[in-house]
Amino acid sequence: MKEIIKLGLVLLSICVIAALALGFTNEGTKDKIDFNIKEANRLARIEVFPQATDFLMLAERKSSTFENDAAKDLIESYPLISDIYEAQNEQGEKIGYIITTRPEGYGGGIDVIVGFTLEGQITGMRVGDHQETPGLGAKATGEDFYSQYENLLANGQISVKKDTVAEGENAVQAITSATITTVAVTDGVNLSQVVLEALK
Amino acid sequence: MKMKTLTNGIFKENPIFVQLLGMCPTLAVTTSATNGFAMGAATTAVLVAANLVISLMRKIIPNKIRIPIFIVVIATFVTMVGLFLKAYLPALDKSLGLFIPLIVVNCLILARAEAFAFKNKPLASVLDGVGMGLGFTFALTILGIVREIPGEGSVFGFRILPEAFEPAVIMILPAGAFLALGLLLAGNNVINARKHK
Repeated sequence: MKEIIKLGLVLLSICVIAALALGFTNEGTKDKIDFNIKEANRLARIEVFPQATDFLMLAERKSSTFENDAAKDLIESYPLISDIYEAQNEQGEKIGYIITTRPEGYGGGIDVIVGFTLEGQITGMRVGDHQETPGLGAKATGEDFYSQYENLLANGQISVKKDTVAEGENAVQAITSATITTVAVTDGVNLSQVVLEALK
Repeated sequence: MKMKTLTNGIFKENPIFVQLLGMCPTLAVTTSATNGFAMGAATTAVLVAANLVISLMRKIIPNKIRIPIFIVVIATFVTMVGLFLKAYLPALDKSLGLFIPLIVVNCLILARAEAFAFKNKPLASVLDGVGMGLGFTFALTILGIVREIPGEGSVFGFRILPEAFEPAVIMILPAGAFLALGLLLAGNNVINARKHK
């Protein structure tokens, strides 16, 4: 009995020291980590909407913060929408929207960030967090794939084709051996368009 | 004698090629030379720190509960490395992601704590950690290079094969990890067998 208490106390004191060390490390790195995450998100928004200088958050699912009821309704009725931002120019005027969706890909959820002008033209698309297969579906994170979506119109639904896409067609070409990923990303973009219509 | 403690881990008792320890991160993250090297460096940092602390405490750690104490020490350092990576090297954290917390269960670190640090003086333990860490990093980087060349046509992200080369995607998928490791182990055994003749 005495021995158990002694061993327990030794283990306890070592755990207390470890917890203290971790507490200090966490305290020292917390702000920097928060800043990094915010900065990465901000850079992603600038990439999909280079013309914008400022971004106003309309709705964010993760933190359940909503700018207005319309945005809240949208988040509640479309479970795949993660967040909605308004893009603003230097004068603070609304020039478009940035919508993040999370459709299901081959390996799990894929974060799809799309920027739209008020006329519904896509200013840019980026793939954020994902678990697609390296060398196959993960190619959806390349510039070649992103640029396919640029300037497409949100007037109808964007389709996925297996062969070369003709000039002026509202479609993208599927990544070789990764049609599921391509369709998932395109679904995300198409869903963003539905939200865009509702926001207009 | 000191020198031998250091070089032991790099060649004679290389954790990957000879001891076959810590296979989980080895097979999972070596999709590119950069990832392999970064994983090796993170593991080395934890290994050296854990070896030092465990060696310093070896006289006050009761034998009966040494394993839980080793795990607490290792887990603490892994969490610290994880937080530092997130704060100061976010790009690296993104590509290694899930595998950083898994360093906790890397049996290489627990094995060195049990087999070496618990029985030796602090300086020797640090040298052992550095040696084993370098050996681990060396092996992971080689494995990363061997998989990245056929799998992506590049080394450390730099393209070395012409665009026309069609990458053998299997090499950067999990199956490719086993293929590459098997070939490297065979090569290592051939070299060793020659030496002993």
